Amino acid sequence: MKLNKVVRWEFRKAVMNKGFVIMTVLLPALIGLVILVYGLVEGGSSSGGSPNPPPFLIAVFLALLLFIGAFISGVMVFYGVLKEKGSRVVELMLSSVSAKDLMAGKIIGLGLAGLIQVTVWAVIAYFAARRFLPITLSGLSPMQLISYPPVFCLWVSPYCHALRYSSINDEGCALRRGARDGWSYRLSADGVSQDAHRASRSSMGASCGVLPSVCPVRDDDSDSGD
Amino acid sequence: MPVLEVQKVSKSFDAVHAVCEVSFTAQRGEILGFLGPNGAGKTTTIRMIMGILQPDQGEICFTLNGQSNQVNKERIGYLPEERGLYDDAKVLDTLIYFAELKGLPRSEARTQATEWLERFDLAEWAKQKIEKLSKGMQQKVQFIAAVLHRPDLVVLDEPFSGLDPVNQDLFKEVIRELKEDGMTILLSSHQMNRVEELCDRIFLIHHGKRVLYGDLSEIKEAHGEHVVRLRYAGNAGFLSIDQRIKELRMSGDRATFTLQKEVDPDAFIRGIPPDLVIREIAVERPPLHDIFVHTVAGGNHETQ
Repeated sequence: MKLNKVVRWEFRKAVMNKGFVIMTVLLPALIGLVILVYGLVEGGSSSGGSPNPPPFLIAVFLALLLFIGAFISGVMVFYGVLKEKGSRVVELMLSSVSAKDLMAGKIIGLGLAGLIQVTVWAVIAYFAARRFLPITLSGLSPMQLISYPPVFCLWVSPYCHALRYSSINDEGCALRRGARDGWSYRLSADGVSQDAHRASRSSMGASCGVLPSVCPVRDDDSDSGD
Repeated sequence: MPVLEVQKVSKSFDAVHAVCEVSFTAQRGEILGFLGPNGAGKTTTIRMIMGILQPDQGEICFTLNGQSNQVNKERIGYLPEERGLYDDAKVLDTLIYFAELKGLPRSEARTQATEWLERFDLAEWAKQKIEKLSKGMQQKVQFIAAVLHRPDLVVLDEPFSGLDPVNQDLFKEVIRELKEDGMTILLSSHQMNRVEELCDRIFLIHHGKRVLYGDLSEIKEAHGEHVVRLRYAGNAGFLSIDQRIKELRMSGDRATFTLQKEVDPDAFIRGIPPDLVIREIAVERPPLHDIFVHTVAGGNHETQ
């Protein structure tokens, strides 16, 4: 039950984020408008004078936009997490929910927001492909299928959203760093267990995962806690 | 039966022994002052009570809703020393979220939160983002978040910091009301006057160890040399040669001095020579501030 509440809160925070709104609503709407206008100007036919752009270019362009979107929102989450740690919200949260629920809630909530973003971009890519590429999925070779814009967006998106999860992962690091001032939680094979005392420096670095460089372990972080 | 029972709890960080075999209890409906100088181990102990940290040794038991538990986070409220709120979230949304995490239904959480916001003069800020609130207002919001779900035990770590005297009095009044409602309050503060006004018992920790624990009036009695404040007319020369007096300070028609520990203040007053006219006289126990300073500065031998 508490997990649901954390998921709902994190999802809501993510979708209310300005970066998310720009990259998931405004920019796709703008591109959709461009496609629409292009279609009207060209008279709804691709057999006119101007040649269609190569499909791979369209795919790369859309994937790049998706990447930028995911990257920007990932960075915002990253700074949000750092801010959360700095303002000690996590301490208050851990007095209400387990570390496992808190971590899972963030991953699922932000993951859902990411899924919405991917879906929106896949739909835009689909319409772009329909407009510029007079082909269907059934008629494509494996290589063409991979470079087909909606498919390209979908297989590229997990890599983009890895950035998002790396931000979450950083929270684990940030919290683990909190072992220095008295509290932390550890993500291990058997789940998340609270144990500041046993969290050694080596395990701290090793479990930082995707972006170990964003998880510095500083000796001067020491705060014995009064 | 105590609501909270801390039994021989210890916690170390690398070579630093933050808390060493600390034991105490908090009874239902009492305010227990949890005191200590900076770095004494207060916050570490509180974090262990809240289940944020696990003790290396010892046990922390709760009796909440008539049932014994290791920890029941829903029945405990917590106001941390360092403030923690989502800056970009709205006041009412934040309160509802925290109350829901403590098990309160959403509709009830909304009703309770609105009532508390009105009580603390924050009703008009309910729809505002927390970042727009002053430090004192944020402190009020966090206090509401700690008590909104009517917990059995609430841990207040420096609740008066950042508050003006008017709001400090408001907090004091609310804390007393919560106590009267049967809530157990663990109050950590450096404001000794507030602790003195509110607490039934105190627990003083120093270098991770218990140095004072018990009923506040008994502790004052045990540490009690009486302080006499006197306004007089006539000849007060005898004060400077009386062996029962120490730490004499005279200024104009006023004198302040401490009686030796074994001196009965009643007998002393009755023995004042008749040529000294007493305009005003007050005999007081030393304030908690003095006991704190004396205990912390003068060694850490335990008194109970």
